[in-house]
Formats: sequence, structure tokens, C-alpha cells
Amino acid sequence: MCSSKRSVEIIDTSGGCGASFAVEIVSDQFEGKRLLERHRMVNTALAEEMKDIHALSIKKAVTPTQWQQQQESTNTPLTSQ
Amino acid sequence: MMIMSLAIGGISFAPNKNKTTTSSSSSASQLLLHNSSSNRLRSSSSSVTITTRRIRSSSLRCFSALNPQLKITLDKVTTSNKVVLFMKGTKDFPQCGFSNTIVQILKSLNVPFESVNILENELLRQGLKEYSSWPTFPQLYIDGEFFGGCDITVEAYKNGELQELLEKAMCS
Repeated sequence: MCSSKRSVEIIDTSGGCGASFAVEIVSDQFEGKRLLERHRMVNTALAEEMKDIHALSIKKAVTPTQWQQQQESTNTPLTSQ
Repeated sequence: MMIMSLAIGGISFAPNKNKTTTSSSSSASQLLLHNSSSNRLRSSSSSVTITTRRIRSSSLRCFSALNPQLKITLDKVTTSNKVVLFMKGTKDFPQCGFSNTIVQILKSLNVPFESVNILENELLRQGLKEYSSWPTFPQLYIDGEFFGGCDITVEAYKNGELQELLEKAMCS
């Protein structure tokens, strides 16, 4: 899981302790894979880090095409700062 | 709430470890403690009983929590029940928000399911991570197969796939 990653967004949901995260990932490597397989890819990539993370929530694991569709169907941005 | 941006490429990830580091020695001693006597765990209904055997401390060094006997037991538990939820706490008293989410989903769909509290048995907890190749809990099994964790279950519930699969499982 490397070079072709398009976009990763990580949100610290721990309230400061740094052990709880929500992630949204857009990658063309997800193409043709079921959601379970996509999550497994992310878990594998984060295997080392998972030892120190209490909770990791994969909010989105989508392909660029799916991402585009979702962006078009919702006009509101996912996160704002 | 803090948002970190990442370099595109491999996922590199640097959580602040200040308050969260658990030392491996403490978990090892916990394991020993758990296994000093035969360790028995009961799910909320009496039909599921998981027993883990005592392991020798010498094997703790590079041991795999998933011993052959535990694997056989887990095969039996996951195949003899249509829906099994390995969770933190029990279905009547979930001890984690993610576990609670799945419990609520299953309850709202009126699906009969077994729940196994992994907090009661450290060896089971570690062994299950290997068994499912999944690092976290809850873990939902449907028809003998690992279905997913909380995020996957919520997603499948929203798009109707979960209901479809459960219906199929109940009829089979």
C-alpha cells in the first residue's frame, strides 16, 4: 500500500491523548475490493502503529471515482477548520 | 479536534504516545495471572463456553496467542451460531462505544445473536486478533465468517447489505 495513494485525512478523536483516530482514505488501490479487504489493507499498513492506538475508525475507504460521486452528491465539505 | 495532514505516499503516522504506552511486561504478567488457573469464560447465554488452556511461561517469549485448541474452539463458536459478536462487555452491558453500536444495530434488526466478552479473557482477546486477522474489537461473525468491525457493520447497515446478509443467514 504505497505510491498510488491519493488522499488521506486523519482526525484525532482522542481529545488529546493521541490514541484515537478517524481516517478517511481515497485510493485507487481500493478499486475492485470489498470494504472488508480495504479495511484490512489499512490495518496492515498501520500494524505497527495500531499497538499504540486505542481506537481507529476508518470512516471512508473509497476509490477516486467513488470519492468524486460522493463529492457531487454532497455539496457540504466533509470537514472544515 | 485536531486535523493532521499527511504526506501522500505510505501512511506515516505519529500518534502522541505520552499517555498511552502500555508496557509489554505488564501485559505479560497479566497473561500469566490469567493462565495460572484454568480460565473459563461464559457468554451471555450459557451455550457458549470458551476454555483456554494454561500456557507455559517459557513459551510467552514469542508465543502466538492462537493455539490450536483455541482455534478449534473459535471455529466451533463461530459456526454453531449464526451471528456472534466478540465485544467489550456484554450485550446487556457494553463497555465500549463501538461494541455498543453493533449491539444496538443487531437489536434494532431483531437478530438473535451470541455475544462473547473478550475483556474477560486476555488470551482469547489476543488469539481472536490473529484468528480474524483483525486488530480491534468488536468483531462480528455472520454464518461462520468474519464480517467486520464497527465501521464496516455501520456502513453495511446504512446501505442495506447487512440486513440482506442477516436474512440469508437466518434462513440458511
